[in-house]
Amino acid sequence: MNTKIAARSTQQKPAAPARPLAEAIKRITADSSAIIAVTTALLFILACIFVNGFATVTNLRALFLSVSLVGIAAVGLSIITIVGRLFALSVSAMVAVSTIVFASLLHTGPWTAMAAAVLFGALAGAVQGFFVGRLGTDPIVTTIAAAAILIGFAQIVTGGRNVQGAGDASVFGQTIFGVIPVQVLAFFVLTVLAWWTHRYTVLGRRVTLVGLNEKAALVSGMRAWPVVLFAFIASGAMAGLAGGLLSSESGQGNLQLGGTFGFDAITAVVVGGVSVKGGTGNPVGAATGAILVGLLGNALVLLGLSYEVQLIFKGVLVLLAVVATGIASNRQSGRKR
Amino acid sequence: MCVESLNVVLEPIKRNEVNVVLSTEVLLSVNRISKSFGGAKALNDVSVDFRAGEVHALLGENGAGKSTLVKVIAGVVAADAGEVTFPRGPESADVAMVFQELSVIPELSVRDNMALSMRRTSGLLVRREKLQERMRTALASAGLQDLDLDMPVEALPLAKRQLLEIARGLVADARTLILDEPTATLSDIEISRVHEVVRSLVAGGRSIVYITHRMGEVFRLADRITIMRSGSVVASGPTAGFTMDSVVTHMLGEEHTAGEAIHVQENFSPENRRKLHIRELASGHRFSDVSFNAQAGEVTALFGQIGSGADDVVRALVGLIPVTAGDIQLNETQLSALSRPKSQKHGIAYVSADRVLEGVFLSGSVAQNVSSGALAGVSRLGTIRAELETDLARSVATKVAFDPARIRVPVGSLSGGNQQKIAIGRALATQPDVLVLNEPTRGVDIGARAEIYRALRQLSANNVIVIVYSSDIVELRELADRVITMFRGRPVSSNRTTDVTDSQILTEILHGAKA
Amino acid sequence: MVRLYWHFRTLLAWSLAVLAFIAFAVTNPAFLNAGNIYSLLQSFAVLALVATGLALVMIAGEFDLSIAGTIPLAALIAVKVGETAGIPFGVAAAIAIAAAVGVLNGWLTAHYSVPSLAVTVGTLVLTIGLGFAVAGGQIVTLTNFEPGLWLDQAIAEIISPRALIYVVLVVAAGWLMAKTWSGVKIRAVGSDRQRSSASGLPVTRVLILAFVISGLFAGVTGALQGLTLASGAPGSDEATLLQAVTAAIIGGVALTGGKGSIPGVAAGAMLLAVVGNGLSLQGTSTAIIQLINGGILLLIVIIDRPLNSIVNKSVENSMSPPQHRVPIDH
Repeated sequence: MNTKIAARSTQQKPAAPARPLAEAIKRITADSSAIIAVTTALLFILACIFVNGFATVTNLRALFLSVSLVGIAAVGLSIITIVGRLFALSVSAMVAVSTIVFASLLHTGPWTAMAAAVLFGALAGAVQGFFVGRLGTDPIVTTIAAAAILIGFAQIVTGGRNVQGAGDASVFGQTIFGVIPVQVLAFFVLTVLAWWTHRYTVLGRRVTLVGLNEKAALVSGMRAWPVVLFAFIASGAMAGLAGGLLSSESGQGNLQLGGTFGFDAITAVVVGGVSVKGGTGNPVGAATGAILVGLLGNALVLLGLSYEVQLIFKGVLVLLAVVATGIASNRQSGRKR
Repeated sequence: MCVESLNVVLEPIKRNEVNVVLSTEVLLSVNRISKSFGGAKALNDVSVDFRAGEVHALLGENGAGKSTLVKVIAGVVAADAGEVTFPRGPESADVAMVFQELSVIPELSVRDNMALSMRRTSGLLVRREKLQERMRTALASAGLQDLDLDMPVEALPLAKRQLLEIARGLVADARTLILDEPTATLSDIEISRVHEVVRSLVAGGRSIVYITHRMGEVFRLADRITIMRSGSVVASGPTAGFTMDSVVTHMLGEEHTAGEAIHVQENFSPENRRKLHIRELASGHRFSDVSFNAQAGEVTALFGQIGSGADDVVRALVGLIPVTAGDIQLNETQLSALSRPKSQKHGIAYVSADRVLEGVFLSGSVAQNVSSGALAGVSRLGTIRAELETDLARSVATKVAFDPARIRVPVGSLSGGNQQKIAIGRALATQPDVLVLNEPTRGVDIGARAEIYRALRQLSANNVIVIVYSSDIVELRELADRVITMFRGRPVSSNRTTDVTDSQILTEILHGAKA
Repeated sequence: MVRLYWHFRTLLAWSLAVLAFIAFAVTNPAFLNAGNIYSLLQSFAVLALVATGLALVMIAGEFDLSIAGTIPLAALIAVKVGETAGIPFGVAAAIAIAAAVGVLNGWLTAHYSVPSLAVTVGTLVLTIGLGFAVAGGQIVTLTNFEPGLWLDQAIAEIISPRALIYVVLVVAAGWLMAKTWSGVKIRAVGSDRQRSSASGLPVTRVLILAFVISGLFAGVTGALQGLTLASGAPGSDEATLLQAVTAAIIGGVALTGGKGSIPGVAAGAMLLAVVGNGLSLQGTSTAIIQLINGGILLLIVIIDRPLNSIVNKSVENSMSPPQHRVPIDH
């Protein structure tokens, strides 16, 4: 092989003329987030048409209210997933303890209480992020441990009792323009913010790159741990916010309020097409996932199906979503020649 | 053809007292095998016979098709055309392959690893004592007689793991044994041991297919040689019919000696010339006493086999492995305690040897890959500007001869050569003072290789210091102005590539002595 | 020195368990009462069984969240079906369902090459839902107390048949890992899946086996628990999951796979059981005990990697003089 032969080398064949519609469809079907968004929209329309009682203002308001809080937690969690650290299993615990923080500080005013809840979440997230990012501990085990420690502390402090906030949190119960509750607005705003950060900022790009291939990121001199730390702080802050908003509904805080937030958020992230392997997917996907799951649950209830059927549905949905995202990501990265 | 004429070679061959007549019984026959991966033809109508009682060396440059051929023989890869037959019959159809990449499982013990390859994994219980005798024999043959069978493999040093790999091949009890670069990281004593083992195996009637880059080994050990180039067999016959030069010529093609680095005009003023000074650099046991100067306007290559430390020098320059002694001075700045992020900040960019694992983000687009190390440059106030990213991608694409119209394509769908260009493009986008590349064209087709060489030489002419590690002598000729050869962790010599012959270089990296 | 590599964590865990035992025995005479030992062994046995099942999955390089749902589900099935169709049938049905969940987990994870974490979240939600479906919104009870009483009677004052059954299963699993090819294969797959697959090991089957055992053990735990409580309640048993993970990790099992042994897991379970029992005897609230559990887990997780490298280094150095090259993966 010498320069003579090399000079005769083939240049890449010119790309076939792109047919815009075909290209667009191809790109959409390859993008799992888009599929979920389309599916959600379709199901929404179908529900409006076929499910009795779905398309009423009361029902839709209740639906969006319940979806918003899970959605906020899910959007935060998705950043951890995108950066390649799987999940934080401490979301339920963080939400629960945040309700206690909010209720305890409600007497200083609703906004300061909310700030405290968010700050608490951010701090708790930061500690976990430090362990997972800087010390390299396993995210699952670390967050399981963190959850146990948080619940333990909170149990000791509150004696397991309900904390009744002494103040007026109704500012968070208002509706903007008479229709959109504050919580829903918060969900919407945060989703847009997360989407924009992920898509357009340097930080968001770093999150994606570290999630896609941490070794390749290191090769170009990027440190992973600050990015991982950020992911956990953001997720923690969102969990704190969700807890604060939850608590504001009743002015109370207790450990039971964490409920199924954790698994609901994970379900939303997975169903939303965010790949558990990291790198692919967008926080909007998690938001859409939350809406989809909430939507299905709501429709099933209206159709007279019981709680357990909902759960079984959710479970199957997660499995389908995991498999679908798995197939898609295997195909994408296996495409090298 | 008598034995005596084989003594022409470098070292006396140890042979049995019995006059060895080259056997004619064929154990394994490869007939007209062809194989393509994607669009690239890896094997082109290959036919070879492997005979009982013979060591048959398979030679060829990277990408010549040796590994693919043996994978077809071992059944790991299916051929597109042709067949592999066993003329002696089905009882001799067992082929054991000792891979180039270690296949031992780190957290299992030596015993369990051996047991797995003995394929006696049927039945419920692991009869650890029963298999022990055969294991000990195989281990002893590979020079590991004192090894504790319960030792976890991950605690073994690399050399011992390699010997274990060979022992695993031995214990599998096949008639045909394929050894793919089995002595890559071994010391001379260990290599002799392996050779003894190999000779005793063929004396027992087995057929050994031996892939190696080491010319000395070939002439010391092999009864027959087959040379491949670009997927075809270009020469095959008894070792006596070859000389070192004829082998090299076959491997590289007639015109190889004419290959030369293209000349590009420098376009910077000499007083701005960037310089890198390395003084007595050492990194533990990996390498020591490395000193050289590299500068913009010429491409410097570190050249050596796996295990020579040459690849480690390159990694140390970019902060991926620690430096235990010596210094690195870039222009006027002393660099110390380098980590990857730190060396990048100082303007040293790196292109890794493993592009799939470390070089590119397969799911990302070309533009996203290119900007991945230079995000600050394509953003304002922390926000990425699409037009800046596109501009950067386009300009870098032009520099590496990649079609700028394809910058939105996901990198995972590109050919190996294009992926490598993007990997290089990522590094270029950081506007480095120094570009360090580890095996820059591994697994890349000829056309893309030439484009990459041209791009690198152009870079050098633009006042970037280009340092390369390679194990491919043709690459050396086409790309580098200066070559530093290394052997067993120490530098051998430093010359302008035009001042040394291939034989000299090969001798230095194989034997560590100046020719 | 090589023995050290294989048994260090096990020895360490047992030492800690013994130390904790002695500490509590010394500070609280009531600790050594037959009744207390009985209760200690009860909680130890349950934890050891669940942790062992989970450990098998972890050694294979995966994780199983669904056991938090399988345990209550098995209890519900054993009780509900047992009430109508007879207890043996109820228990059999519970165990069968649990094994089926394991098959599903293993197959999806292996066949589609997806992280088991995501899969088992799905099966967790599924099993919780199935649990609610079985309960059907009612309180599920068993009128026949006999089997439950039999299971929990005190033999020689300190141990129950149920605990013995669990211990036998743990020993069986330990034997599987140490003495059979399946055990070697599970460890191989967990240590390096790619190389195992390249060496011809049936990775899918191995993973399914690990998940089935994990499901089975969770199923047995849940079924017998249902019998002894004579009732079942739907929901998820996250507390047991947390403890099982902790026990496994204390015992030297790593989430990355390939490491750890069943005796070590048993030691971890013993340590947690002793600490939990001793503390609650002293009147410590469950909250604090849970806190301490979490703290122990976090601590172990932090020292895990440095601890492993120390052990590895000393094994390396115990061989012939310092070798040339640091083992790198080419």
